[in-house]
Amino acid sequence: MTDTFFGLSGTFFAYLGAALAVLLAGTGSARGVGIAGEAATGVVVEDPDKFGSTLILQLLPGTQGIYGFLIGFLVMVFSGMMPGGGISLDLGTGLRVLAACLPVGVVGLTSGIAQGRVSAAGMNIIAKRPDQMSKGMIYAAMVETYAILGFLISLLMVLGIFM
Amino acid sequence: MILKMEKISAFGLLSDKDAVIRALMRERCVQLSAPETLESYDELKELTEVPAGDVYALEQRQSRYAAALSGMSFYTQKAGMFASRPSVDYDKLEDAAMLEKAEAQCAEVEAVVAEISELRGAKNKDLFLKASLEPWAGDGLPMELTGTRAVSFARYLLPAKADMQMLEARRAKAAPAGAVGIVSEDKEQRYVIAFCHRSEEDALWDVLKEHGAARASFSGLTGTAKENIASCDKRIARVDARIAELENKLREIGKDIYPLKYAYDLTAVQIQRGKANNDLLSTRETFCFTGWVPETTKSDVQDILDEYGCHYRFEQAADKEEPPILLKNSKIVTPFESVTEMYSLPAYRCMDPDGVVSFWYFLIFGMMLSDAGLGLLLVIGGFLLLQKKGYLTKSANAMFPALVIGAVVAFSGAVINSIVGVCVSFAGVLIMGAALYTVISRSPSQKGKLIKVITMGGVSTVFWGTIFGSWFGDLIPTIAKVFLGVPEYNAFIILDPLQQALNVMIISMSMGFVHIMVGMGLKAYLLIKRGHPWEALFDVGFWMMTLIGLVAMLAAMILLGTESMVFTVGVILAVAGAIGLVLTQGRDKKNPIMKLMNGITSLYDVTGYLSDVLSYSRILALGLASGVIAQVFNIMGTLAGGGILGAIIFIVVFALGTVLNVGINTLGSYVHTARLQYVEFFGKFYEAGGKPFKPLMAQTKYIDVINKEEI
Repeated sequence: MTDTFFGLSGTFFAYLGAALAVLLAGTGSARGVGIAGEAATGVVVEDPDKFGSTLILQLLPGTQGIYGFLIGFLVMVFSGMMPGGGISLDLGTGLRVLAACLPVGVVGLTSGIAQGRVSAAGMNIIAKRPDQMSKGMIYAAMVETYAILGFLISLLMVLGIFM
Repeated sequence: MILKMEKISAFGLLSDKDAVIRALMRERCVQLSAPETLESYDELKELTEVPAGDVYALEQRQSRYAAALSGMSFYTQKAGMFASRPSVDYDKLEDAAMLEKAEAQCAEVEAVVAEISELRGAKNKDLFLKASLEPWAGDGLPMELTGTRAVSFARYLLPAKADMQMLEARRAKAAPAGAVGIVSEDKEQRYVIAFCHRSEEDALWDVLKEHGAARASFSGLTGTAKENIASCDKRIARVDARIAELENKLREIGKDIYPLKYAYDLTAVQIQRGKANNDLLSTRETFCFTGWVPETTKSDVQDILDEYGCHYRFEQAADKEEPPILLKNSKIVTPFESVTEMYSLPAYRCMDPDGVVSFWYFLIFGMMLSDAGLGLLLVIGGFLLLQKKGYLTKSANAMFPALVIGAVVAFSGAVINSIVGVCVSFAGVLIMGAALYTVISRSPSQKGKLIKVITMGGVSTVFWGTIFGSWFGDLIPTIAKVFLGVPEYNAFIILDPLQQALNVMIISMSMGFVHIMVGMGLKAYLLIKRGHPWEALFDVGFWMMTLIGLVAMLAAMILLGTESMVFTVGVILAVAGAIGLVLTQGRDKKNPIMKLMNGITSLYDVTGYLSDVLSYSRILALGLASGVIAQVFNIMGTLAGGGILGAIIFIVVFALGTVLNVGINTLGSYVHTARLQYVEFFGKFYEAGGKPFKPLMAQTKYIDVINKEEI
């Protein structure tokens, strides 16, 4: 293991990738779920019985964080970052892992926030036309499509590197 | 299937009007049209006498019940999300004894609520008085004191920022024999008492006024502030005790407020009947109405109208009319109507897609959730939920053991861990499927549609999970390795989505391709049915040729090479289709150059089809997500190692993880399967915008009104 990049080893970049996947996607979901939750509170103030349906809509922007977490976790398992596993990756592999983590991280960040906004707007549907709530869910799911695509590519890349 | 609607016009004697409305409401067989839609409405209006029916009194009564119910809302035991609703036979809805009970309950609640609000008012007054007395608690002087014959005494409020030194200096000049003292102070005010000789009273007041003082008045109070505060406290305690007593009374009533709910719903039905009564045009002796009747209940309507000697006639819907939509499907397909309804009902002259939707929804949902363990949970959990809600009949309930046996068989197949095991698992899937089929076909079709969709999706999930070898992720290998000491446990998997992700993606997209082709086929069917066979060929047929040709070329290139027969056929199909498109897609333009231009540019639509197919890759992504989440929790659970303690930790982590996994991924699969139906599939052929059939019926909030014959 002689090849390094300004003294940083491949192992470090793999760690960085796993961290970024969880960090960025998690931030996106946290923001999204937060935005949706604020709107949900407004609905529940008027009608506490709508807690269940607002909760479902609030939950939708939460998947990005899970996707990011999954990618981060897979990288950890495959590259031996788990307790007891000795890790040493060459620079090329480390950088590839970092690149593989970017789609789910960056798309998770942006789509999580955007989906949170759509979910928040969907709370209006729950407030005024509760029977039409599922349409609000579909709108939010439209945004999630891109998070899923990002997750898919990250996943295929990670599997490609390690399997 | 969209039920055929016929338009009815009926005429009858006014004396029968009420009975006819009652009977129609009972059978839920006709949707009344607004009288304005009658052909000769203007002439008829001349003859119409304003209906005498008055729903105002009923509405007042209902709002009293509503107020009593909302007053009770804090003191009623919540029924819970999963509880079933009581049901009452339509003919026995008017129950005088129950109504009397409700009246008594309502009066009692009203009296208690009124007393509580009065007591709360009194308490607030005392609280306010107490707060205003507290600053004076230290002066120990009676509140009614205004001085003696020679000395004047008064209490004042001074702003906190008043300059006390200046005040004191000026007081000394204006009232040398007087005194000003601070009793207490807070952030905003100083509470001040002042004495002086009667002759200096006005002068001192002038000084105080200049510093912003206001007189504090407590008219009517006797005794010191402290004594008054004590008596306030005593009164407040008494009021609190009484309120608690009354609240207990409400809680006692809240144990059974069925009569109130019943009365609310009964009044609602009476109001609906009254409104229907007003909506029908009436003369002094007769009434008439028009409406829509689905073909299935036509005979019910005829029976009722014949019984009361009404004159009526049925007509077909005119071309420009849009009759309301009522769907009728087999009991297995009916739950999937909820998926279509969520998008929009079909237009009357389109088609009911539910049969096709049910197949694809079932298939794709299972592949998206894709973990057999989660599938088992959905099947068992969904059944129990249906049971709890009271949506199942007795004979359906009896199928539960069969369902459990199927689940056990399916899971034991996974434990066997070989090709035989997979066959056993499939047998389990078949047993569950057959049991669930029986359950659903023996239950009322209109109840709990969404739960049924998810429960059936669970069977599909177990099927796909068996193929993907995912039972709560890698639960079985994990247990074998960590707790049973089998170091090399290799799970037998037909198609491992982690190892063969690309293959699963190709399967997903191929399914998507077929799904889209089916959608286009339905479009062609609609066009041909409406007498446009050429458009079906030009707009659908050529595209299908092109797309199938392209896919055949691609498949042949990967699998067989470009020399193969399939490739040649693919090229021919694609080229022929493309030529057809170029020649026909500009057919509504006059100019031949424009015709050609439009034809060529129409080929760009191929990108749309490409993105539609790619969209199905989400099946793989969501499928992997549920399997990998389960694996992650399995790994986390085993971090503590084997042994008893390790097993306990594993069980806790596994339980939490599975709850999270099943929640998130069921929601995701439900929503994204729906999306594939709406955007990729419906986009090809579906015409939305039907208005639902809203028959004259009893609409209630708390209790279900049923007909005797209904199973």
